[in-house]
Amino acid sequence: MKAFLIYIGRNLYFSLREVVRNILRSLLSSFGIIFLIAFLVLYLSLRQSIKEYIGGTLFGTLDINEIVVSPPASGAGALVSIGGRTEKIAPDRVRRIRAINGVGEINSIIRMEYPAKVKLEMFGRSVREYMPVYGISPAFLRKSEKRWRQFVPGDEIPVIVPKFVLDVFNNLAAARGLPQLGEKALWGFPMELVIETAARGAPERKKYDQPARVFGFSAELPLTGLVVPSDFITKFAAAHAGDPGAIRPGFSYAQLVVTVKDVKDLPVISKNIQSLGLKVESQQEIAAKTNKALAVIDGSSLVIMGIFLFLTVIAIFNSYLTIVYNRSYTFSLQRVIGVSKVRIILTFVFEAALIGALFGLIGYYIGVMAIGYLKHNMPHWVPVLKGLTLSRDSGGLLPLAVGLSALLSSVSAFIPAVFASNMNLFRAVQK
Amino acid sequence: MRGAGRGKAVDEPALLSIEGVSASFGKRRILDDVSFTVEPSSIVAVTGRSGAGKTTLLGIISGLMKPDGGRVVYKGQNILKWGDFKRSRFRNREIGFVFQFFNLLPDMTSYQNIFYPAIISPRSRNLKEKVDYLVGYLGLEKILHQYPATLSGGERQRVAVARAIINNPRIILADEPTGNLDERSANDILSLFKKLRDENGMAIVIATHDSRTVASADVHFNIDDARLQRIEPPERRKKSRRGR
Ligand SMILES: Nc1ncnc2c1ncn2[C@@H]1O[C@H](COP(=O)(O)OP(=O)(O)O)[C@@H](O)[C@H]1O
Ligand SMILES: [Mg+2]
Repeated sequence: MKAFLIYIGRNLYFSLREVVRNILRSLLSSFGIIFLIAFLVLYLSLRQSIKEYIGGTLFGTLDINEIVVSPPASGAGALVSIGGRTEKIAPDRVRRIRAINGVGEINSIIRMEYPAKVKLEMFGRSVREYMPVYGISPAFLRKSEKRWRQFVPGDEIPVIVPKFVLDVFNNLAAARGLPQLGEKALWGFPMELVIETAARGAPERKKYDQPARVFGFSAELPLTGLVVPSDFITKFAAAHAGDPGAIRPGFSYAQLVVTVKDVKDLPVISKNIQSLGLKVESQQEIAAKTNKALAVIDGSSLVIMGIFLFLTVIAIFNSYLTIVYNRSYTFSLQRVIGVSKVRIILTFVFEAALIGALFGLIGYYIGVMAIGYLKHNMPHWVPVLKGLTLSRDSGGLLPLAVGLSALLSSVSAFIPAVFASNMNLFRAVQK
Repeated sequence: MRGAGRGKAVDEPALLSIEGVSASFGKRRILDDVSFTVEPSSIVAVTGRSGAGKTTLLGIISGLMKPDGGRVVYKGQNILKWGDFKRSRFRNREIGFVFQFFNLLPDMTSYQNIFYPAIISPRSRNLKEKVDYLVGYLGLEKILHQYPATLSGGERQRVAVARAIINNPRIILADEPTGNLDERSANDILSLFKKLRDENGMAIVIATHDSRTVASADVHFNIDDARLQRIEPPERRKKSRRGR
């Protein structure tokens, strides 16, 4: 046993000596492997980030057992309607969905049908603007807002400003020569909602001033108006249904989030809702779309890596062939001394694997560095990807990178190794 | 053809026998129906002009080259039937090589060069003692940690002989071992071979041009026009000197 360990140790020593000698020789031709591994690490991180990004934006408030129901003509989950009319989900549809077997809680985004003006004092000037008002239940915010339980009507109505609305507001402000306002400046900002219960042209209109305050901002709600607790809208509508010329009903459904009691029933329920003429989206469907998009990314990356791989293998093959030629004297002498062919092949392949592992390590760290670089610079190049946070690999890809590189290197070295094993000193000496 | 079997029963199997070996490169026949035997404790000289096929013959004996036909029988077994693994082990344990150009590994010290054939086999034991013994035996103490490039021809060849015998082989195959040495170094190597023959019972097959080597041999073969012929010594004095 001890003799065997000594034997292993000695052989390892001679192998490592060769590796150290050959590192520089194989460095140039093995650049490909470094690139390949770096690209792989980059690609896998990018893929992961894209997946998380898509998941994060689309599933931010969506659970696996939830279905988003939108009016038929609206875009994918969007309630944006600039200038035009917002599509609605008729109340009878909501009742019918509620009646479907297996449907649990239904959370809704509702739209107040009464015209409402936002009134706020800013820099000594008063701003008044008609703006749609939507209602959501606090449960909508449970993932994105720590204070979601406080999002309930009180003396002052809490208001959430969608990012999109903030931008529109700032554009308006700019047009009127007012300075732009960021989120920080607007946090807790007081305002008044002036709600008119009759249509704008009606001869007799009642107006109600409702104090409100900016509660927060949201990038997830794709809405074109202010967002208040839905309780406030429903109660207000109930209280003022009898006003002269009051619009009825006082609110409509803009979007529903239907919770399914058992996830297994989701596809069936989803089909049922679709048959009511409504648009339906669930995590499962989004996941399918995401996977399609990722398949395209994967496909093109695989083609690139395939070409890289091919060139790398050729380069390594070539470099090892040179090494075999340079070491032909040693190999043939080893044959004379009694090293078997199999052993020469194994040793050579083992050395190649060690060198490959080393280059894999280098490639990995270059890839990680590239991720760090892209993390800082990509949002400047491609502003759309601002929300995409590239995550540096925390070491999980390291074994893959090193192992793959070692494998690649040793496979490429195999044929040269066979050549090496057939070296014949009697020919080498005779020349 | 029975070779160097002095004082032995004629029907006792030889250590090594080459039987009807033929070899060619392309259409050129290098060896034609070559047969001879090698006995333990003997020096066999193989002569022939340059290109006659001496190196080829040593390559075939060691199992590094395949002949067109014939048998190479070692201790009753035809080594040509063996697979590479067995032939490699045969070369490692039973044969030692010495070459005209010494063929040491340039990036290893004398010590490592001598060591090298032994590390191939996991069964090698007491390596340090063996090397130490050989170093004393061949007087290599002073050059043990020098690299081949810093050694003289004679020193290199002595290191090469040490490497050839580290695994205590039964046969040494030497391809023009004195061809690149000055007279004194050549004599050193020759007396070393005689010592190994006499003290260790080794058989030494030497391909050579050198007349002194031929004179030191117990048996002399010459290759001419692909055929091997035994040359009887001109005087019988040599034989009586060996007759102990
Ligand atoms: N690999 C080879 N291919 C073709 N011819 C060869 C090869 N090796 C040796 N020869 C030829 O075989 C002949 C015998 O070579 P060799 O055995 O080296 O002769 P020697 O050792 O007696 O000088 C030479 O003519 C040589 O040119
Ligand atoms: Mg020769």
